Amino acid sequence: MLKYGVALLLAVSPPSGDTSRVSDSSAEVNEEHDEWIVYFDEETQQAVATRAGESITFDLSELDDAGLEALAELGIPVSEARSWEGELCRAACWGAAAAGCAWVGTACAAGTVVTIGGFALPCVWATVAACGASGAGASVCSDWCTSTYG
Amino acid sequence: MSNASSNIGRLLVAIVGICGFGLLMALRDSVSGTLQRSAVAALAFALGAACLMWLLKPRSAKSGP
Repeated sequence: MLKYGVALLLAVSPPSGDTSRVSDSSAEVNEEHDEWIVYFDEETQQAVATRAGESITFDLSELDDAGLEALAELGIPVSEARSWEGELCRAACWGAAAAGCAWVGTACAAGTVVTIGGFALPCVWATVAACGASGAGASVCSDWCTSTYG
Repeated sequence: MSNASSNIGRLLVAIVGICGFGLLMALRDSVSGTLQRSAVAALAFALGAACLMWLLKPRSAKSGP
């Protein structure tokens, strides 16, 4: 499944005439146009961006945030297509974090002190720390959902 | 502290909490790196929790005139 949709800046046919063939990127270098043209293959998840003699081959499935930003800086807009599995997964992550934060907040009565390994911590600070930790966990979980499901 | 200034203080804390949470979560989207993103999310949640705890803190009613 193609995770990222690459917008074509210039709607012309590739030199080879076959949009799915990207194995020989040097043969598909766009010599004529100043704007980037991107070809991609859904099976191999490989894509070639080419403009005025230069060419970049990249794997869309392994493209991380830095790669997306690099493409954007080159003027190649890449929009991330999100799947419903990914949305559900992310919703579960953030929902669980919010629920955990609320649970600690309600379980910890104001004015009381929590003792963790001999260290006395006011309940307010324990709640804030627990919410921060759950937020960090949700962020990692959400990133995992994005990398796994899109 | 009078009731009016107390209410303004609560309003300010609510604004800081909501806007701070929103801004930090937006910042998280523009940050790259799992560790950095989770640190920003932790800050956002901690700020939101601190503001919420302060707003929900039971206050003793003033007695007398």
